[in-house]
Amino acid sequence: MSPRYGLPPDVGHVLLSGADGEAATVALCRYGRAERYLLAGPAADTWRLAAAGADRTTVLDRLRTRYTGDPDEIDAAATAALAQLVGLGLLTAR
Amino acid sequence: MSPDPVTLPDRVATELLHGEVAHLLGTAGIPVLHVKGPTVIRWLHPDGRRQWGDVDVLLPPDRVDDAREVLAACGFGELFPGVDHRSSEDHSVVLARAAGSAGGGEVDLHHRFPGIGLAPGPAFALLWRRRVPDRLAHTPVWFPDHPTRALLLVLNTARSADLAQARDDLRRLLRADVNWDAVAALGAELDALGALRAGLELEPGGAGVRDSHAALRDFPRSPEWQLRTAGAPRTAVRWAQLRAVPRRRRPAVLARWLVPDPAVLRMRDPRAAAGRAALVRAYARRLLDGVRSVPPAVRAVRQAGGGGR
Repeated sequence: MSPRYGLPPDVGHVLLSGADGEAATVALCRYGRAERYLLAGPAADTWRLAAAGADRTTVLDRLRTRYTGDPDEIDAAATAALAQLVGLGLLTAR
Repeated sequence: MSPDPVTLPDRVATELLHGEVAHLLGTAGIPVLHVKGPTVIRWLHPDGRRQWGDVDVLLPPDRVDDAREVLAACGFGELFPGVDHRSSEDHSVVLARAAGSAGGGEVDLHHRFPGIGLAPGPAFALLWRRRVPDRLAHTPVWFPDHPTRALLLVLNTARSADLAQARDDLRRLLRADVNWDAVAALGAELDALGALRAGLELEPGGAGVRDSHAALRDFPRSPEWQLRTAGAPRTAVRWAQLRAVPRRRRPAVLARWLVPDPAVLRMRDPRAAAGRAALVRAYARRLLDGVRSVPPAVRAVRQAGGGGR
């Protein structure tokens, strides 16, 4: 079953670009830790789709539509990115 | 996506820090009212070009220790060790993470707001009742309502009259749609009319506001705030403050000014940190500077009309 993602309550974010369909850049902070992250391009798109509550299938479908390239490579890269973002506490997965 | 520190634009870093402080303190059940910075920018600077500055939050005075504990657990320490709301007469405690940390930036925990005469506890309770929701870094925060923001902006400008940014804020406020009746009424409730009047008088448009509101026009000028807005020497302002204190409390207040806590002295005169002898020399320098500042202070007080209330 495709996991559904979400935004943890202890993660703040500021969108630096991407509001009008342009390439996204987003700054992230896991509250309580002196850590900041900056995601750009496909990584930022992946995080935004997942943080908005999409499941993995939807995230991958949207990325394949948006980016040109080998769909299998896109799926592999996005799946790895989602796992890393969940591991860093920047996304929830259930 | 490396967890290594990344360099973010100041505005973005500060917004994240605002969100972080709101989340950490809110989760701990501590009421937090965001003041200055974003509350002014979002209202009066639609172009977003104004600097965000530090994170300034107002707290109930009896929760400052709780807030410091919560933030200390997340790496925030006193920017000036030992300088807090007990050792210093400042209106805020300044915290920061270690230099170079990705979550850097200063956090000012305000337990009172300069210009408000009402005791800090009741003053916070009154302002808290007027809070409005907003979001910073997509995190729920509480902002003051517009009349409160207007009042705090004018009070802040009265205290920082020589800062171009504060003056620009005030000019923008005077061009904005502001319910000045509500601002004046709040100023009266908070015992802040003296500072409010002095701040408004910094700009021609503010004098117009004063003249159209009897509560402000008829309120006696505050010598302390007249001196502050005129850029008078610190000793002159202190003199005016002392005159406003009940006589029996004046010796204690004066003693604290003349011989501040060592931590405060080390903050003001870093040479004092070199050891005990350096600290003694710093106290001596302070007293000498104080004596030297008396003649210009007396002149400034006379020019302002005697320093009485």
